[in-house]
Amino acid sequence: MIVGDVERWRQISPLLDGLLDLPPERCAKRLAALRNEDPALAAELEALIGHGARADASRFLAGSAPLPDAAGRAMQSLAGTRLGAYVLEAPLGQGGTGAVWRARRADGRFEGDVAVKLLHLSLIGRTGALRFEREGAILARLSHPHIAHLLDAGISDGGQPYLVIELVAGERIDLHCDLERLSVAQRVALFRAVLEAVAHAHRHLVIHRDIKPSNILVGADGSVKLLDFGIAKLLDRDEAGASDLTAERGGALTPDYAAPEQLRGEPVTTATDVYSLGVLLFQLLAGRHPTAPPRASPADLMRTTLETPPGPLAAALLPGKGASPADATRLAAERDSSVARLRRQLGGDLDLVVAKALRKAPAERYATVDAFGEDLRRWAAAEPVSARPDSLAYRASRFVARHRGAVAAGVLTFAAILAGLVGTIDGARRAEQQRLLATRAAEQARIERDQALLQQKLQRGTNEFLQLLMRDAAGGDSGAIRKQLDRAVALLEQTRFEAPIVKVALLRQIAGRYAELGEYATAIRLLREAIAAVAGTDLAAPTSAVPVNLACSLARDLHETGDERGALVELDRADRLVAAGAGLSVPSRAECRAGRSFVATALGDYGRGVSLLREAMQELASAGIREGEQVRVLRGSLARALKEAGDHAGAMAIATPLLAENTVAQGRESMAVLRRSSVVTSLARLGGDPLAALDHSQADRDAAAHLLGPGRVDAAIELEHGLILLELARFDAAATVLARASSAAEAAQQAPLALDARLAEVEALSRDSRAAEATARFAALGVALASAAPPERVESLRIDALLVASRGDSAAARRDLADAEQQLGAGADGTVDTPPHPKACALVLARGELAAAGRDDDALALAERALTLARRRALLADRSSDVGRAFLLRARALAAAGRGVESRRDADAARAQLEPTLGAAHPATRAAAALAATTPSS
Amino acid sequence: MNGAPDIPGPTADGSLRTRDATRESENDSLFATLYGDLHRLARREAARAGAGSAGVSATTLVHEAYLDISQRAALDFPDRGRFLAYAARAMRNIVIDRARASGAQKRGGGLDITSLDTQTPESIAEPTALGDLGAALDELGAIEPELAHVVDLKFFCGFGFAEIASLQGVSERTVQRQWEKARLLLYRALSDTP
Repeated sequence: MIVGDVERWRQISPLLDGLLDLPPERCAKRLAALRNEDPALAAELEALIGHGARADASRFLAGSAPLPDAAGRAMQSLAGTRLGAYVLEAPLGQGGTGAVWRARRADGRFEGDVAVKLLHLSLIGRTGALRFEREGAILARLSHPHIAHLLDAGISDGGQPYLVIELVAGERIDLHCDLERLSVAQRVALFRAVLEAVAHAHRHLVIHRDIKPSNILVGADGSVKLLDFGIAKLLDRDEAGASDLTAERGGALTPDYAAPEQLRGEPVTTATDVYSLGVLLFQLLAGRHPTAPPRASPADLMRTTLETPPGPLAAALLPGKGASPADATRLAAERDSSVARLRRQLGGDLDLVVAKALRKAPAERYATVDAFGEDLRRWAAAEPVSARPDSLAYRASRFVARHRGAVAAGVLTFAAILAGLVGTIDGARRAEQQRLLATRAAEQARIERDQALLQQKLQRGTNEFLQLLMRDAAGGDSGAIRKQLDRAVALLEQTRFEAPIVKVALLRQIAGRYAELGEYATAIRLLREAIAAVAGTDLAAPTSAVPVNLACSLARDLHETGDERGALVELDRADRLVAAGAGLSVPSRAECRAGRSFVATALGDYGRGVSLLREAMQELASAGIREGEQVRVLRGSLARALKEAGDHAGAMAIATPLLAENTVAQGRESMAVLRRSSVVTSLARLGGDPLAALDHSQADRDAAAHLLGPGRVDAAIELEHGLILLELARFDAAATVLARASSAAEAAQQAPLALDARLAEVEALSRDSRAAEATARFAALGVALASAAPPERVESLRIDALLVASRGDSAAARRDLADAEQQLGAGADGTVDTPPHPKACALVLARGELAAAGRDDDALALAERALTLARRRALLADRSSDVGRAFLLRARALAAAGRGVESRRDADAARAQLEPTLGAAHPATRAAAALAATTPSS
Repeated sequence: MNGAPDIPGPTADGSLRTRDATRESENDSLFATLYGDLHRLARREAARAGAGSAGVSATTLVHEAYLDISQRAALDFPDRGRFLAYAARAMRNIVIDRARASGAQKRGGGLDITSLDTQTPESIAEPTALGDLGAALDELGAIEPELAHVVDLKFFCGFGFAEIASLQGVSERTVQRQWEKARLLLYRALSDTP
């Protein structure tokens, strides 16, 4: 009796109904409770449910029964039939394209059993026997361990087309995965073997066209075999007949795996196989079709294939998303996982990879099956996948497209993007936290890798977010960018973040953008906000790198505002945190070192400034980081540090190639590139060629005007321009430009820059014979000078000397200059290894000029020193305004000493160097020319 | 839905009314008529598809049979649900009869009644297994007719759960539960069979 005892069944049946409605874990609980009351009943129920599970696993009664027809009888009569070299032995199965028979060679040569596929006559169509056999020969050349080899193709005397194929034993890939309870990783690994086979075929210009689970078998040894490669094409009625193939052969091309272009009757390419493979992977992972709901009709399948984008892989695992908890539990169990774990495994990059394979437009999918495989390899190796970069932008653009018109002034768009981003990163973070809770020491390495990945994800996420943000402001100027940033900040402040790291990371990124715009005050405020957000969370733990990162960022912005003391406080704090065990990554350590270098340079400790940067770069290099944005930024910083240190040739050797790289990589249109360009400009001036520098400077200012918008100037670029004009003796213009530079610097709270500009402005006014103005401006600097760093103090003494000398008090001027020189310290003239102090040349020249004017005894000695110093500054030994000025000085000293011939030679040398670098009309050039004319030649 | 033609409802004159006394014989003749018609349709379809396999689904056959039969005034149907009950059973018999008639060799002894939408060697319909399934279903139908009916509709006619639910006027969940129960009972019965 099928139900056993009928009375007993009547008793069991309603209980069974109740149990079948429960999710497995609750079902087990109910059974356990029942076992206490009535063990026999519980055992019976349990056995029945067990039968149900086994029926499930073996796909008992899955699908529907075959509708038998005449073929069944026809098949029987075929046993013993000879087709080419093969004799049919027994039917193996019946498929959409025809019957399959087991056969063996009739000529006695033993090659083992083969499968012979008898194709429906109707499928051959007009193309005729010739093409069938020709195509068959092409397919027969496909030889790959994962492809069932086509041994022969032909048409029997009776007109029956047949294919002889390697006999493959195995089960369908989807069934195999579920029965073996393969994990997500194992499924991906198996799928990658499928990709290899398809890639092989594609390299031989064979497209499968009908990839589906029943065409992919997994043998007992776990290896995959693809069947029916290219057979869809073989059966094509004619070259252009793809559409009627679909329509007329229904069963052969299942709509489940068909790509949109196949359904539309458009040309089939390798991208078609990529799509079908995407559907297959989706099904293997998620246990359902990517676009159609369960049990959809063929019409629905086709419609959704054409119209509906695939949802997330893990959608069915989310509460309230259609599938019942029981289904979710079964799905997870079949994947050797729990529901929560499977949800995590299917989220993130796998989603992106599958989505890329399943794009509706063939051109947007993976270009090759190899690229698809490579992304899966990366996923398996926990590397970032290529499908990732545009994903956020892609999702955001889809969102905007859906809501266009309904969105008020972009605010909603922005909020949605942020929410999406936060969701992504929060999810990753939460998963990470859960994993951390389950930490064992042995897993430490994996966790570190995961953390690095998370870090990368965060970095990428926030970067993408800001890029997206800035795209809205693209074409606009800094005003538009600033507005977007302000909006981002307002939004950040309103949003409640489950994971503080997201807020912190975004704050730090946005602070960086403000700093780039020269808005250091805002940057500092945001960083302090980030530091406050960290306090009291797990991000403040002793091992956390986050407080160190923030301290170092803050130090750099404080340095920019001239608050070197504040910067040092932060840097020291960072050092203490690292000493106490904060796990700082190599790139972060390099960042902090760079911060210390900037402060050292600003305080006049040039050697340390340079060596710290070299150390940072070395550290990165030994960690394998030799290129990338961070290395480029450090190279730029090193060029600047060398420049500041007076090693102009060394700086130029780094700055020029760097600028070329940047211009190629990013175009000129970015603040970061502009800063690097301005280093080159500045080096041209300092290296002794102000005329060349003027051209550079003009280009820099044009770029800055474009980037910043009307009415705004960049303080540093403006200062450089002013200094060049000053060198070129265009004092009036220089004074105007320098005044503008100092205002801009003050507005940006860049105190050191403002002071430099003010001092230069005083020099320009003074040299322009506007003594009263110059003196007044200089007096106004009193307070700022009191707290200035050593380099600015030296500079102010030189300016003071200039002012008092112009009033005729050369003694006071001499005192000032000697005082200044003393402050340069022992290294004023430099050694063989280290360059002289960058201010030394200007000081010695100034002293020499005073001495020459006063016909002092030490004038010649000072001129000699100036020449030595100038030569070491010069980028080109024969083309330097500094060298020219030193020659001129020596010529004057020599003339005063009555050494006319030598004086004439120096004056000529001076003129040769000054004319190309300062111009013929420059007072110094003219003075050299005059001196050469008045002194006799030998 | 499987794109089936809309099936006309019961006539307004109350043809649903049937007396218990005549029901048995009416049912028998109805079944016989359906069985004959379905056979005829299946043969026609098989011929149209040439020497190949099914060119038409069982579901279509059942729907066509209904349309065909309902146009003949001589036959009166109690209701659509009842019709389907017969039709589904008729389909089952056709499938099993055909399988038996084809006299396919017995392969192995296991359960091979799996989906045939596949070309794998393992998936061939096993006539003996189908026969056993038919016997088991007859047994089940005697005690739990609804369960057997769901199997006929789903497995032998190819209807989906939603369709069956709307045909039977019950919830989809109920149909699913009935299906699961039927399947575990059948699985047990067939796996106990040597």
